[in-house]
Amino acid sequence: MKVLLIIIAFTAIAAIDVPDMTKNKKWRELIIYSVIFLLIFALGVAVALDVKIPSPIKAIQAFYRDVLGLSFKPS
Amino acid sequence: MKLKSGSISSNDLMFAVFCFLQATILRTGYIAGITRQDSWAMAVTGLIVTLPIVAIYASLLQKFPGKNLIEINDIIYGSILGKVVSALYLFFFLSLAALNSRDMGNFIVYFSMPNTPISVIILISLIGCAYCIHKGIENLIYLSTLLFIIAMGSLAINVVLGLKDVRLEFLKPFFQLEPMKYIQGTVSVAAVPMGEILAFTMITPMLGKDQKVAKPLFLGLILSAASMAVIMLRDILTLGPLVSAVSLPAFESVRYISLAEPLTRMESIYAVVLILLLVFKITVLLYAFVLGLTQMLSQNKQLQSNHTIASAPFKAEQSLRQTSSPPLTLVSAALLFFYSLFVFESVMENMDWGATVAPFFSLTFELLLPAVSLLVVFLRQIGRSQEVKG
Repeated sequence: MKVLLIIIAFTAIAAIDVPDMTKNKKWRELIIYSVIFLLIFALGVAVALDVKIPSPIKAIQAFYRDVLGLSFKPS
Repeated sequence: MKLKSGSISSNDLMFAVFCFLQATILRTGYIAGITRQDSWAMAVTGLIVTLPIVAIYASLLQKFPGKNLIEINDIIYGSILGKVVSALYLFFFLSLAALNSRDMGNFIVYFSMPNTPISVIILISLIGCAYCIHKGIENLIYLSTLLFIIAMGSLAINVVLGLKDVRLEFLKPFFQLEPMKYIQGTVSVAAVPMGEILAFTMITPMLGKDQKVAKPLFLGLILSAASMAVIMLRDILTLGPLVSAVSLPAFESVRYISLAEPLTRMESIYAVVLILLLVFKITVLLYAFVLGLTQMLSQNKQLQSNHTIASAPFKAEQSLRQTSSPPLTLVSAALLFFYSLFVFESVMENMDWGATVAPFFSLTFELLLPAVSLLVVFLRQIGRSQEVKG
């Protein structure tokens, strides 16, 4: 169900964004847009399927705290 | 997405900075957890630390009038390194937007709509943010004046109605904590809410070439710091020792207000104001991300060549030459939506991040990178002047 909602939402986004680019023959923009669109769509499907995606913020937290030693003590 | 030079005034920008910072008032819980009854003073010390940081932004923006942060990076660092630095800033803006979206979602779920999935709340808010950007960010900046009046009115009413619950002895003892606590509080206030006005370096070209950038940034910051100090004082004076125990003291203290039968549940009105401010802040951050991404991906050869730091010719119109760029607002909003869902799994993780590492992470982008950029500009200027003399 969640995946279906993601597909519907991204179809709607494409329906809003793409016609202008194809009508004006902006092929370079369309290629860039398609790559970004597909990457975010894949991310959305992964989230919808409850795939565990590592948070970049947690990686940054570990890097600052453990590698750089930059962290305040929790109060 | 086009930047219209001269489309906003200094006052609009000042109120926008105020509303942007005021949205983070919910996060004062972190500060109260560190500096307890002395938290109000952190708004002042945080302001003192932030003023030189904002002076760095103002100096950069004045050296490259009509340019935003991404364009300035391209000029200072060149095409390739500039894009790398810009990508880091974009990640910062996106992460801030995701964290604030998550904060807003958590706030609404826990205090207003406990049975609603957080994803639905964040999705509806982000549709609103994308719509604001689609209609033109300048319209939202105009609205900030109205938002300022609403926020200040709400604050004044809450402070006046809460006066009967105030106990001055809750302020004591004065400044008896370890010095490290005050340093932590000051750095946290300076980095997490105040330094985030870095996002406005993406909007300032809309001021136009005759307008000064520094004044609205400084005034917005000072107004917000004053308001933050008042809010923290109100929270301490009404909640007492509880201020460091509750997660959202700014909201809990308003819950105390109950004058008569019609004047109960005042926090519901306050919650609406806070949500409006948070949506405003998320929209500004999303706009900064979308504009930056659009400029990085757009085909604009002239922007990437022909610029030298010594001359830094002012042509605001060059900012408008983003003639060829894909529409990225909706896909960026979708990315932000998914990011905010997995940025943290629990409120406790979020609180731990905010109290321990977030200030250092933020200062990397708010202080370190802009300071390095300004240093490079100065060194090149000195080099050029010596070449001319030689």
